[in-house]
Amino acid sequence: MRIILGIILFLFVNSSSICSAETIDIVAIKSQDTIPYNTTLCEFKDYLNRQHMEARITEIALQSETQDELFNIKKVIESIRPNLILALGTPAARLAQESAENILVLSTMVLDPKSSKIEPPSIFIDIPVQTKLRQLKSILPDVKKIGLFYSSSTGNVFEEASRISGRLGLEIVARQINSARELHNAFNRLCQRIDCFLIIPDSTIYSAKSVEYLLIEAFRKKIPVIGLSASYTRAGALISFECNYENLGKQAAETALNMLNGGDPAMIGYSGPKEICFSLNLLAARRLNVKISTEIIKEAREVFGE
Amino acid sequence: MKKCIYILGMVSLFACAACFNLWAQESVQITKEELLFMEIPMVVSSSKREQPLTEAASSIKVVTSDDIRNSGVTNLADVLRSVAGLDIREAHAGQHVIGIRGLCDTSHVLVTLDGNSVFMYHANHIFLDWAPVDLEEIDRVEIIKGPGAIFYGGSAFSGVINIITKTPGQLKGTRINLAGGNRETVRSNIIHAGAYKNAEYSLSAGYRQAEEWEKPDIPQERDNFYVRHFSGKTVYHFDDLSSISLSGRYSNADNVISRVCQPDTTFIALRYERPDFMARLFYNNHEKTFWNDTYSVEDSNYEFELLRTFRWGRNITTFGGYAKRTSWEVEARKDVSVEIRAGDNEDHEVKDYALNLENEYHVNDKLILTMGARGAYYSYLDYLGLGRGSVIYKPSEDHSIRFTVASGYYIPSLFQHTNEGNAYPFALGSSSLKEEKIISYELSCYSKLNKRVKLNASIFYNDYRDLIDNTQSGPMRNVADASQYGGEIEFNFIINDWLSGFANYAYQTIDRDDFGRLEVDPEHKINSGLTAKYGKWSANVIFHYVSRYYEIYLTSNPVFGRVQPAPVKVDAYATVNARIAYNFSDNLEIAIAASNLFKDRHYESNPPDSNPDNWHAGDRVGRRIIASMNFKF
Repeated sequence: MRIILGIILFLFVNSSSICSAETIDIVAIKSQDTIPYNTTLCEFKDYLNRQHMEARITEIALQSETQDELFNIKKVIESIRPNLILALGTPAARLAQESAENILVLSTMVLDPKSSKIEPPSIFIDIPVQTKLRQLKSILPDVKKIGLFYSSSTGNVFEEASRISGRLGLEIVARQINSARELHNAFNRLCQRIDCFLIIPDSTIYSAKSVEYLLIEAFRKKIPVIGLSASYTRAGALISFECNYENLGKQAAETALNMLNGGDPAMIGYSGPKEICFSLNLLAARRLNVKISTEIIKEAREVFGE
Repeated sequence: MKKCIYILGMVSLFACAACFNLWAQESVQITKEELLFMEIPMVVSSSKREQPLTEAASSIKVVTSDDIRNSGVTNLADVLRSVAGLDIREAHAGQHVIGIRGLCDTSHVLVTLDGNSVFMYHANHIFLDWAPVDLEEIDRVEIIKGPGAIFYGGSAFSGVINIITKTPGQLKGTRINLAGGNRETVRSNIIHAGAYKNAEYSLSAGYRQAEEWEKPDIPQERDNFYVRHFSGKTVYHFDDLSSISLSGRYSNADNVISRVCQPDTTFIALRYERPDFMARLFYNNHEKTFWNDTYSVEDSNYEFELLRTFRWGRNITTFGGYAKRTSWEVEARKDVSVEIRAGDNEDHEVKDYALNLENEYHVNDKLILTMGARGAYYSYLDYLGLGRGSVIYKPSEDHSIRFTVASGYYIPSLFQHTNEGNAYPFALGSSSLKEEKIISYELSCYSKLNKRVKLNASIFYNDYRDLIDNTQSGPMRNVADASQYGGEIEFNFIINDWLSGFANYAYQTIDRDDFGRLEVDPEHKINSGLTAKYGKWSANVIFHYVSRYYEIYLTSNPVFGRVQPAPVKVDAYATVNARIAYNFSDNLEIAIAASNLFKDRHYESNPPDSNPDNWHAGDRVGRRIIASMNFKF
């Protein structure tokens, strides 16, 4: 009996140790070499370490997406034959799908993976518009009419927003535009009818220049802008909602362990961020005469313009 | 010739320098994730100040394309009747004149089309009736009341009406507008616009006509007024904020200006702009024959302008330069008299150069100070200077008060300055004619009383010097000073989700050295209207009241100057316009509209009863009913 228990115990301990003793090769491909991606990847590594996972992680940052670069990356993957490819961002996810024959691929930091034809498992970073509107309602209770622009590719976002706005006592005032060039005139017409403006991720409509111009015009007309990330808040948006990227890294690491332990990728499917955070620009709030409570300020992940 | 080459070279160099930085910044499509994480330049810092557009140094009213459509009228002048402080008079079906706070004689208001003057400089006419643009092309009209000469020059005496047309992007697709009604009224146009990569284009063609209200008084007049017009515009976008555009417009009209003129008008405009810089080149040409081809007049105008805006500290500074060259020629095409034979002509040229500078200083979030000046050189007048200053105080978001002092000048027309009578023996000019001057003081306020009611109110005092006596025989003289005061009040209200309205009242009175306190312009004007939008239906009704006045200058033909033998009384009148429309879909709308619904036959200009031999008399304006269809695909 003791011998049997001993053997069982030995196998149990060593089955865990097999995983920890064996080094896992992971190739992490980043679409951009920027702070959010690095934060996610850093937490991914830390989480694996905390789980006593020996992981050899090869990092690759996409530069130009030229054919040569893509070819070279495929060569690296073929030579390493990793246990898993972690793809951060849509370009990286597409490259991983093309390169990975019989290699597990987990993508994260992607927006709307289904429409980008990114296969599961994938952890997207879209913040549901209903989440944004609920948060907005609690932070800016006086806001009633929210303006937004959408294009033919983001009409679903407008529909979703319209569907839930009524329940929140809000009204969506939206306009479909086809390019950033229409933004100026469209905003001039829209701004008289709204209390604040919500930017949704749509690269057909927005670019760095057009967002800058939108922020200027919104200030001139005293319209608070809800941005897409902390860089928008720093630039002048009143508030922006985004993922907690450390938490996203941890979520990706948990999913990766699940996959490495035999989890079915199709069953894992698409999942969204578990934690949303927001940033505030208090200088913008003062300029726009918007009152933000101290509790809200304390909850903000980043505060600009203090 | 050398000078032209030099100027062209400088312009090209400047344009290249301005554009250089932008070639490298052509926009590239980015991914959604890049959108999330891209760096945005800061627009808010402790040292930068934003300038709301509503905090302008002058009183500005905006008439939108929806206002134009809902009014149901067939010409832009009639749309502007609803604006407090504007005088619109209809002399004939194809002749409306405009004044702002009086001086309703076509020449003291500058009208621009996308920033380009539509003046016929030989006579300082505004010719909205045959301007080569149709109502469906207009995005909005901005009306600046009071002297706007800082940036617009010597024709912006009483104010500026800036017609801004829609971009090709706004007109994308094809639109067909057809309207017809009683009195042989036809208004039709087709507009097509599209885009290719970074370029956009639009093309339009239109025709409008109407039967005159009354039969011709003399053989030179015709029964119907008509206008044919064509236009084209291309815009190339270097990036999301900067673009260059080239546009051309042409119109041909008949039976205008006392129903005896047939003008052709051509505009060509080249414009580069980005939010802090604008450069434009503009050419306009007017040719007309009149009096059954007895005379012909042609004037050509070349304009060049640069405008740059800087933000520094708490200041926003705008600096500009302007150059204009205008020439005109008049020719007798038939034997007129013993002295004037077929082929006799005279031609003249004038030049205008100006520099302007205006600075806005944001003392804090509630207080803005504006100061500006313009220095100009004008042939026949030498050097001119003027200024504008204003204080804007915004105690809260829903209230603002503005006090403005502004000076302006009216530059005499080419007829008034240069006509020697060698070809056209009337309206003789005088080279010693001085500019008319105005100093205007205005206090205005805006208040959002509650969620449903907004109030705009203003009072003003204008001091005029050296007003020109526009006599028929000439020569022209500066004859009178005058003082004027008045005010406007306007309410805009929302009754419920589907019903809204407006009401305004304007008062002005003037005391002139030559006519005393005679009501040379209406002292009282009332406008009010209701707009209903319910489902696919929309309806509009507008009421206008104009009190009596005494016309001193011929509305139908200001070149001919004074009404003879004495100012003639025009009785008060009231009209109601109405429109009802049904939208079958976003692409198809059908409407019926009536102007002067209750058929109050009235004169707005120079009734003939007082002088039956006066063929410059205005016509008795009647009712016009029009059915229209707007279709886009």
